[in-house]
Order: sequence, then structure tokens, then C-alpha cells
Amino acid sequence: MSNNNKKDGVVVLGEREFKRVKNGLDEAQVASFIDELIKERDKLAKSQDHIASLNRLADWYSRHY
Amino acid sequence: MSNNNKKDGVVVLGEREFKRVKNGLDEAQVASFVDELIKERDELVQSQDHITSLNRLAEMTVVEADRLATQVKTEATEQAKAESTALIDKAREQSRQMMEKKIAEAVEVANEKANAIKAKAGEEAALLLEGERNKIRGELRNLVNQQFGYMLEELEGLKQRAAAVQADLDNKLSAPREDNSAVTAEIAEEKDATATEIAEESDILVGEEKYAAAAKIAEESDILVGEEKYAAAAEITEESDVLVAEERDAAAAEIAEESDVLVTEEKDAAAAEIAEESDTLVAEVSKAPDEHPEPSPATDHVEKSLDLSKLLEIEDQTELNNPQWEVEILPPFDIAKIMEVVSFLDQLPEVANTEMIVPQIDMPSILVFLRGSMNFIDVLQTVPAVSHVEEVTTDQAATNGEPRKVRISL
Repeated sequence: MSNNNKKDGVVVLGEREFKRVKNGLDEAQVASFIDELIKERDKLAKSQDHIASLNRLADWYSRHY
Repeated sequence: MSNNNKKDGVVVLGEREFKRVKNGLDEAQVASFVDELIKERDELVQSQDHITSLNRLAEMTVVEADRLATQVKTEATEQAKAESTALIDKAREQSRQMMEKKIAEAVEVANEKANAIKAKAGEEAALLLEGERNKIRGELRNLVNQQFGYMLEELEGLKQRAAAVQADLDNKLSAPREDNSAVTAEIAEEKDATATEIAEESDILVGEEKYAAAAKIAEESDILVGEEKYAAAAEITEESDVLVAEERDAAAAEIAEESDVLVTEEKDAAAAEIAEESDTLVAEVSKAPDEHPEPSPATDHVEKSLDLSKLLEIEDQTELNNPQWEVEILPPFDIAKIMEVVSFLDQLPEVANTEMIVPQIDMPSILVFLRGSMNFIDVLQTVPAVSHVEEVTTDQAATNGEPRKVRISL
């Protein structure tokens, strides 16, 4: 998930660019945490999509039967 | 969301600690991004909780719907059973009413038939009674004629004895001529007295004999007719009861069978079908009693009895009618010749009966009952004892149905 791009002092994590500064946060820890958050969000979003699909199926079933 | 803790070179973001290093990531950008991610995650978690609660609600709803469906099904089953029971009871009640109605109709028909049979039997008994009466009347008439003949013979004997006594007295009184006229008158008076006494005695004897014979015959005829009537009534009652019972049993069996079929069909049918089946049942049952009419023994008995009564009626028809001829006998009277005339008439095939009339004052006469037409005057003229025949013509007698009169001399 993390994609470090050290060109021009910019790091990309989770498709977001972060600047490097002198007294900044540890890149590894930040990358790990962001990965966890993104995974959780994707998992929940996937579950939401699944429920939405079931709802559409239920709507279709109730309309036809 | 971000919580910067610069102590010991550690920063806390989203409840996570991050170390500060040289050439590290910009804290503000990381904090902003972490906040966005955490916010998205929390929203999704909240939505997930909402969906979860909806699922639980849906499950509870399904369970409740199942319970309601089971309850509705149970109630519908019970209601269907109750309605089915009500329909069956209604069908049974209708069948019972129809059966009672049909039985009542059958009983009514049987009673009507029984009453008709009884009425016919009554008429037949009346005819039998009348026939017996006429028969007994004829026997009584013959008996009286016979007794009358005996009395006439007795009178003839007395007359001969009186003639002998008179001849004896004439012989004895022929010598003394001077007392002849007185003695002759005395003898004549005695003769008249004797003749009168004999006539009175003979009338009394004839009357008593006739009365006793008539009473005895009437009593016997009453007993005979009573027994006949009682036997006929008992037989008719028994036959009518058997007829009623048979018709009632047949109608009840047929109705019961039809009602069973009807009840079985009614279990699965609607109320309209019950009415239709009932109509069919009524139509079928109403046809049943008239399909196979069996000849009744009572009817045969009545027909036989009617035939018998008709025969008796025909046989006695001539006796019931008035006499066709009345033969008046002109004096002088001769008992033997009178009896000869009566015997001659009795043996003629056209003559049904004769009846002797002996009045106290007027002349005696013979009533003649004919079976068929005959030339009565010519026949009378052929009788040896008859010397002269003269018909008495009266137009009124012919119109009133009275006998034609003829006078004869012996």
C-alpha cells in the first residue's frame, strides 16, 4: 500500500503524498498504520457492497414474487 | 483525532504512537489523512451496525410471520372444521326433515287407501247384509206359505169334519119335520160359529208361526251379518296396517340411503350443492312409491267380495223388485185349487217367486214375481184349476209401478 517516492522529498502512502520534514514522523510506522486503516475501510466497504447487492436482489425478488 | 504528544519524541495519531525521526513525514499531513481514514472507517462501522440491527429485526419479523402464519393456519383449519360440521349437521337435518315428510306422505297415502278399502268394505257389507236380508225374507216367505198350506189343510180337514157332522145331523133331524126349521137354524148358527172359531184359530196360529219364524230368522240373520262385518273389518284393518308399514319401511330405507350419500358428498361441497342434492333427493324419493305398485291382497279380497255381492245382487234382484202380477181369486174358494194354482206358478221358469195374501175381509190374492217377461194371462188360462181369467186394466197402476191385476175364478 505504501509507495515511497523520495523524489523532491515527497512520500506517497495510500495514494496520498506526504512531505518530508526535518523532525517528522517515522515513515514505516505511519505506512503500517495507514495500511491497516485502508484495509479495514476496504473490508467494510466490501461488506457494504455485498449488503447493497443483497438488497437489490431482495427488491427484485419482492417485485417479481 | 490527532493527538500530538511531543514528550519523549513520540506522536499519537488515531490512538497509535509514532516516533519522531529525522527526515520523517509531515505530521500535519499524516494526521489529516489518518483522520479521514478513521472517519471513513467509523462511518462504515456505524452503517454495518445499522445493517446488523436491521438483520436482527428482519429475523424477528420472519419468526413472528412464521408464528402468525401457523396461528392463521390453525385458526383456518378449526374454522373449516366448524363449517364442515355445521354443513354436515345441516345436511343431516334436511335429510331427516325430508325423511319425516316422505314418511308422513306415505302414511297419508296408506291411510287414504285404507279408508277407501274400509269404505268399499262397508258398502260390500251393506250389500251382503241386504242380500242376506232378502234371502232370509224369501225363506221366511216360503216358510210362511208352507205353514199357510198346513193351516189350509187343517182347515180343509175341519171343514170336512163339519160337513160330516152336518150330514149326520141332517140325517138325524130328517124325521121330525116340525122341528126342522128351528134345528136347521141352530145347526147353521153352530156351523157359522165353528167356522168363525176355526178361522180365528187358524189366523192366530198363522200369525204366531209367522212372527216366531220371522223373529228367529231375523235374529240369525243379524248374527250372521254381524259376524261377516266383524271378520271383514278385522281383515281390512290388518291388511291396511301391513300396507302402511310396508310403504313406510320402503320410503324410510330409500331416504336413509339417499341421505347417507348426500351427507358424504356434503363434506366437500358448498351449501348450494346441498340444496341441489336435496332437490334431487326429493325428486327421486317422490317417484319411488309409485314406481312398482303391487297388487294388494286387500284389493283382491274386495274385488272378490264385490263379485260375490254382485252375484248375490243379481240373484236377489227379482226378489227386491215389486211383483209384476197380482192374481185376485174370486169366490167360491177352493183351497185345493188355490194351492194347485200356486204350485203351478211356482214351477214355471219365468216365475221367481209367489206370495199368498190372505186378508180378513177382502178376497185372497197371489203376488207373482217374474224373472223375465211372459204372457201371464195366457199361461193362467192353461192352468186346469182356473175356469176364468180376467185382467183388471188400470192405467194408474202401470205408472205407479204397482202390479198388474188379474182376477180368476176356480
